[in-house]
Amino acid sequence: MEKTQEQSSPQTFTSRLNSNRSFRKFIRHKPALVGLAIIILLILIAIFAPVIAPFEYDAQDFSSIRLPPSADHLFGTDKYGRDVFSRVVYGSRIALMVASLVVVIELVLGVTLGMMAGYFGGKVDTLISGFTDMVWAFPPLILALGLISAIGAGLVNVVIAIAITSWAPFSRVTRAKVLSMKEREFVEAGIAIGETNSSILARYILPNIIAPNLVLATLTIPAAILTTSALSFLGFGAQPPSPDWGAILNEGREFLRDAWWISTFPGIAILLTTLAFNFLGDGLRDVFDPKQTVQ
Amino acid sequence: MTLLEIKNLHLQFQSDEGLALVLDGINFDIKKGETLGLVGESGCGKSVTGLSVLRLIPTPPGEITEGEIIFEGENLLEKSAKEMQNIRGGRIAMIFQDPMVSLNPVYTIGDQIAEAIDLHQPKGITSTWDGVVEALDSVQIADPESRAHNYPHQFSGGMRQRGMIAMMLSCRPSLLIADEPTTALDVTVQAQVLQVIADLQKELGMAVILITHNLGVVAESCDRVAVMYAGTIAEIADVEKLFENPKHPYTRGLLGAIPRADRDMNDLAIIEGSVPNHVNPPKGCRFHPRCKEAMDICRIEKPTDVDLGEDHIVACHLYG
Repeated sequence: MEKTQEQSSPQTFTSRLNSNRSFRKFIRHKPALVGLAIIILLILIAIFAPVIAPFEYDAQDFSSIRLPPSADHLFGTDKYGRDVFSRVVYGSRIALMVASLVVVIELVLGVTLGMMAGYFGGKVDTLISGFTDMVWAFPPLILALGLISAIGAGLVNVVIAIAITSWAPFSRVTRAKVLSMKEREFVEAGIAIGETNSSILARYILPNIIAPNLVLATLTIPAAILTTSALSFLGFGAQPPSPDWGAILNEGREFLRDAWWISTFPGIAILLTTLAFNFLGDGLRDVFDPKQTVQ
Repeated sequence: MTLLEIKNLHLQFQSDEGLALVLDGINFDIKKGETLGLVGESGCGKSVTGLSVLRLIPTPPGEITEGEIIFEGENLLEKSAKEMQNIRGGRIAMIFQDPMVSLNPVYTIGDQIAEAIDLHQPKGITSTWDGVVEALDSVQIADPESRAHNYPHQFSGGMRQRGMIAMMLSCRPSLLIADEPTTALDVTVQAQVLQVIADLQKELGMAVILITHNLGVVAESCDRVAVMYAGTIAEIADVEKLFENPKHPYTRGLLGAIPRADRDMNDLAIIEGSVPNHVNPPKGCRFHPRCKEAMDICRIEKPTDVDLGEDHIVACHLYG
């Protein structure tokens, strides 16, 4: 018994990804592969940032202010003589950390609420769905701005604000999926062998609704990165000298005409990262949901 | 000895068109070790009868308004949700129509059987894993030890249904409700699955309620048959008596509609009309608009159960 449980608990979607057809489909999805490659590269860069970056991200050098890109300073330097390349490299840590934290919080919030709404139905459903729609109706950036003005600037607060304002899609997707899942016969069979509600939710429904949420999560990461950058750009997020991409972009804004490199390179980093996650998300969606494939 | 007795069971569903009386006072019982066939057209209430016994009717919109379900001397309708969880799978098990979708796709067959065993901890099983292997072996899955590690998609349809039976019977229930267990399977596999159920029934001494619309299956494997029509039981009798000497006009119509190799296909009897709407059922006997032998009283008064002796019960004014 122990042996089997070890072998078979955590492979819900991996087992499906490993199954030949899905895997081949994913391999054939070129943009998804490119996206995955960029993301892996980005993760490596974030992990090995101290090795890759030639300078500290906050090391100022007033003898080399606003130098254009060169062999010493690949992306040039900013108004304090800091190496933009090193700052962008360290910035990947912030981007990935914030994005994954946001997505985890959104997943937990959205999936829990969605499962309750879908499974219990009735008044619980009306209440949760109404609340979800209400949150969804707000433009996330505006609501996040409002929240941050209330709780104060800073990266942690940015994470909280973004998560609180944009979990609604997870709740919706989960609820819809649970509604169709709970009518399936294996769930009924589970009830017929005497399973409790919590066990039905955890063992029968949750593992079967991971795939769409995973796709949604991948597509939510770029949105989270963009919003973080936007908030940092506006000065609500990462505080100097923190090398958040949005913050660097903002610092270079006033010199855009004579020192284009300060804003351009973090901008490219944001673009590539969001694009990569979007590609990967599209690919995953095609693998998990053949009906939506456009080919 | 009576294992399960259903007395005057009324079940209604709240629907958009109004209140649908889906079960209108049904009575039957089943003895230990016996096989009772529950037959009838689609929508006559066979499946909801089975689901009512396990209290699996979604409430709302469904509601049992009247009646008793006595199982081993206790009224199941008075049980708490917790007590029902112990009864489900432990003392009463149910298998469903479509084996393709009645197993959880994300766990191995062995895991799912183990789950059922761990939930109820039946006597006489030394370890969960032995119970799993034994259960799979009892439904004639070859090489149960390694097959237990397979996922449902690695099983064929017939194997999945047998896996389902293994899971449901691993806890040795005293009653099995089989809701069209063979409908989704092809004929040779059907025979195999029915044989597995019959063997296990003998071995465990359990009673079976076999819900089906296949009269061939009934003739083959049941001791007694209850014929249902539009939420009522038209006739109950021993299987031979019912096939040889059907009393209710509906039963006669059903049996007349079975094609037989030794007769001309064009002589098949037809029951005119279709199953009535549950929201506005016909007054009196629910079958009277389609009955060739309907009398005046059939349009006014609901027939009561008439005992013709030797456990042959029919609800028809012809015999009142």
